[in-house]
Amino acid sequence: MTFDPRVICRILAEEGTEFVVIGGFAAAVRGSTVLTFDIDVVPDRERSNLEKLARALRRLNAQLRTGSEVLPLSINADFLDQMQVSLTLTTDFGDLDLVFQPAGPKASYADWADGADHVDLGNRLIVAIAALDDIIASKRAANRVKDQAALPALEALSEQIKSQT
Amino acid sequence: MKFLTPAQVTALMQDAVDAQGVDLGQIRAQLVLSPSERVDWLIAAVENLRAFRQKL
Repeated sequence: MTFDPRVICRILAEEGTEFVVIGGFAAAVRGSTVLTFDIDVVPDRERSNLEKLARALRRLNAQLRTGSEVLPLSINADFLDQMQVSLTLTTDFGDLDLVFQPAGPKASYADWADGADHVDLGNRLIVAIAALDDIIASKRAANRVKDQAALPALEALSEQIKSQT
Repeated sequence: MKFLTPAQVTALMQDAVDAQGVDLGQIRAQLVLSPSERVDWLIAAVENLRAFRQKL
């Protein structure tokens, strides 16, 4: 399986899905050098958006990713509506985490969208990318081992960006 | 013999983490790139790492 987050974003965008990219991939777009092997997105939970999201996920051949195995899913808006915190998926273009309730002070799509910028990832693919300081705050709150490992580099990046402006 | 204080030890440990984990030169190099080029860099880095792991 190749990791092509652009294709994941493009298919989400083609279906008209409203989402903000957060986490390590968003940080990489901002300039982070910390490698990430998946893409995390916060989708809008509006019913019509969940229907668009479900169509995109079916196109991506999304399946449930657990610690040890991959399980088939029948994804539709009803299914997505019942997800409370997150859904870890694998797709034909890499791993995709849907984060319905992110850690930290920004807990909803609207919160994240408020600070996000629309960024061209290439070939006119415009995607909402979370603010770096929001990503840092979320990682501080989540405080997993991988978050702790990434934070020094993200904080250094934030300082570097601020020193340039 | 004069021993380091806990605060000094903490500061030294933090310096060691920064020295190992944060490469300011690489960060500055990334900031020169466009967002699209940063995505290209990430995809290539992930592919390279996966290829390296498969060889092991």
